[in-house]
Amino acid sequence: MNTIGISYGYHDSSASLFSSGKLLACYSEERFTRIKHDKNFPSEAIENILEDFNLKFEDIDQVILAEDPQLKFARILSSSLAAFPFTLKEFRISMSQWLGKKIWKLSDVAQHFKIPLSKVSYAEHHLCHAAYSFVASGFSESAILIVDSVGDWNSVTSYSAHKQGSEIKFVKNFEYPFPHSVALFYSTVTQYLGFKPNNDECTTMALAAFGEPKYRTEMSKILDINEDHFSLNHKFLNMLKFTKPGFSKKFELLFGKRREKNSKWSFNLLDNYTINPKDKLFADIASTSQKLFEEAVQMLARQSLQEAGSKNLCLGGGAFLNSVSNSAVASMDVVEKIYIPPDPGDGGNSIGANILLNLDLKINHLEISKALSNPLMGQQAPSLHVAGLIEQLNTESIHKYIERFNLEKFSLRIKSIESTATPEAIAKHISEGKIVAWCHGRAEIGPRALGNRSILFQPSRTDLAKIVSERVKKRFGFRPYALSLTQEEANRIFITANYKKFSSANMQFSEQIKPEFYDQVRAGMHVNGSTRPQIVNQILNPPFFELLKELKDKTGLAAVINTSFNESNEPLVNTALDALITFLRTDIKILCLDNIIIEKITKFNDK
Amino acid sequence: MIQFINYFEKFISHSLFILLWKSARKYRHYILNRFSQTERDSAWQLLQALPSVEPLEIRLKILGQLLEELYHADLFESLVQKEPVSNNPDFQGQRNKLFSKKQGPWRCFVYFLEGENSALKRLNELVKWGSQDVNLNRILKNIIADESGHCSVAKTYLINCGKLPEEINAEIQDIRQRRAQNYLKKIMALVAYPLTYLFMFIAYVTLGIFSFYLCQKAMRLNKKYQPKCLKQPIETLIFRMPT
Repeated sequence: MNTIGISYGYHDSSASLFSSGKLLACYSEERFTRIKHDKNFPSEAIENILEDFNLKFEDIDQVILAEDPQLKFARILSSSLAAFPFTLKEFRISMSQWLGKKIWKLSDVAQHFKIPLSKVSYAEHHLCHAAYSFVASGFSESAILIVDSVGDWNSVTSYSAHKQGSEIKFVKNFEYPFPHSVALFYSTVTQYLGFKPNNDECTTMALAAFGEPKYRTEMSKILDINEDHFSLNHKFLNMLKFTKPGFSKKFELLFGKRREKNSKWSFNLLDNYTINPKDKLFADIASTSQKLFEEAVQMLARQSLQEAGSKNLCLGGGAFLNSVSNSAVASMDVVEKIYIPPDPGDGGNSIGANILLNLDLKINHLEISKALSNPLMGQQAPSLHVAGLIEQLNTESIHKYIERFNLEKFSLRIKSIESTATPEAIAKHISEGKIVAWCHGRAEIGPRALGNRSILFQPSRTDLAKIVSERVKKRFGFRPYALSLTQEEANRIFITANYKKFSSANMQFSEQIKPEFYDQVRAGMHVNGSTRPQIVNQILNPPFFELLKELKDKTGLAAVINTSFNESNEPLVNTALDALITFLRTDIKILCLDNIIIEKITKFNDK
Repeated sequence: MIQFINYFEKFISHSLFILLWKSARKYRHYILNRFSQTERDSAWQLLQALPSVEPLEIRLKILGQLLEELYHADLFESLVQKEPVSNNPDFQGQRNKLFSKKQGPWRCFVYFLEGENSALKRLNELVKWGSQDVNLNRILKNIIADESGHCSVAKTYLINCGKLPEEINAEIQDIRQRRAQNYLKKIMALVAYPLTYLFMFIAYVTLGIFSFYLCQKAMRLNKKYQPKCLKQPIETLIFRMPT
């Protein structure tokens, strides 16, 4: 029995394949189309899944969509009429989109797979998130809290779930319908700060550490958090008018004019903490909204646990990509165990839908849960595809490109090609102070690079962090990098110990570093002494664990800076060819592809 | 008919294009952004076909070309940033893969050739009708030189594939026909636009008057929302369409 789960239409389209109840793959459409957060039908993802697992359309027994199109349509219609008569434009746009195409999603899916409509099913968006988180957690009973911008109708839903024999029973406990969305509030602040909503929320989170939550009184006029509920004042927000910025003029009257999109920030994390007053204002706004967001999520978590009568908490939805607020939830006494799946956002929802379909097909949850916590479920990137090319890289056509376009000061040459990309050899390059890009095995699902599509360098080298920020990722200098390390090293260098209580294998919580280790991990540390660690799991990723052990021998620290292998505004590299192109276009010196190492050096050193 | 539509499209888009470029500075960022997105899409199309391109020598040239296309996309993007009015929207479209494993990469390269030719014409127009901005003109001229090189690589590849000029011409005709059809659809949509607008307006007003209050209630906008304890068991995990 092969089943496909599909999630698309808002952002982060993806497709997942289950065979006999077991997850075999989950591919994101963006990795293939190279459009970040691609929302289109995941046709490339499906095509590649079928090809990689030698399947044809006729081998697929059932397909499930991770949303209820009718419910979503009803919500969109209602929201465009609820602000009558000021939403004609929104009504016109959304109705022509929905009546023209989106409402027929199920037929489109059936047509794509060339299967009858009876084989296509759908499930409620938040329930898909809930199923993914709960079944992957392995808990026998739990409270489940789903928070995202908006699902089919709700923006927050709380469930409780328990296992009963081979089945799972879900109970819905409370809900917040759109537009009462705490995640959209955070996205709105992100937009006000000049960043891209639904994309740059992590930048707001990073900025928050530079400010103080000074504007609590003002911000509470917009997001009011009580003991048992939160409420939003929609006079300050434009959530029903999606053609306009998410914040209203009243919002700007309260905090001043929004920040220009492309304006530069006066400070960075590595060598300049001096913030000019204008930037400080925006950092304080970010800090206040982060604080309120944390408090809202904590309140929702408390309510969720109380309603479910449980001490276990499963979290899902894009809001739980915020590692600082996750840590705030984790720090609550009422929480005993907590679980966040590898991709809590919409990209992981194709898995959630597939889980529900398999539960409906009476497949035992124990069978279904087997591979769910493994984040390495993306596509394999064999170097075979580029092996011939790499051997010929020194030819004129590539030189022409490199010399003209790559870097202003240097002329680059491919120095050597080794066929020994062992963890030991990679560790040697890292310990010599080089920036290494590593692309091997299966890709990570979700937005975090966990060692298989990663850019790695020494945590003490802030100069390398600067190069990566400026010449590779082209991102704001105040954003910190994440640290990958072994459990033993975590025990040694962290003050806090969230990782002991909860799995930190997917970079979902933050930890405080002991001051005596600041210099050793400066490049992976935020301004407040925190970091977002990945505790590398020896069973899930043996080569990466081996690399850390080698680094311990060479540098005395089993830790490395780990950032996603991509350029700015690009999704994570997927294939070996993507990796090669990114390597040629950026200032990365070493590329490790499966078992091949390619080195690029400047002409000034090439003697 | 198709030829007529093609000529008509070229005439209209050419005139509009020059008008916008020449007289309305505030629209320049839009044109430059379109170029950037087209270059990036072009690189993506090459990326899809690249693993199937033989021999290795041409594959390498295509890789170089792909890198150049990405570089051009970056250049256009940087030009957009320099414009006084610069709104750099994300790519909102959908990729339509031209390469298919079944047919091999040659069709993709015919598309590429046709696309490059028309892009070259446009770029030459930008320079011809261009601004006083010396830097902008220099960048555009460099891009034009690169794009001419791309056309010759694509031609070499097609000859190497053993494709007859008739086959290539037939494919080009096919592309033009599809483009004409798409253009016709756009014209029809434009003609129908006032009607759909009117229909939507009537629907909005009618629905709005009668269901405004209900929708406000459904969205829980009438008062401060406070969630209720539901304790509602989920009986049905998934739903199917009645067939």
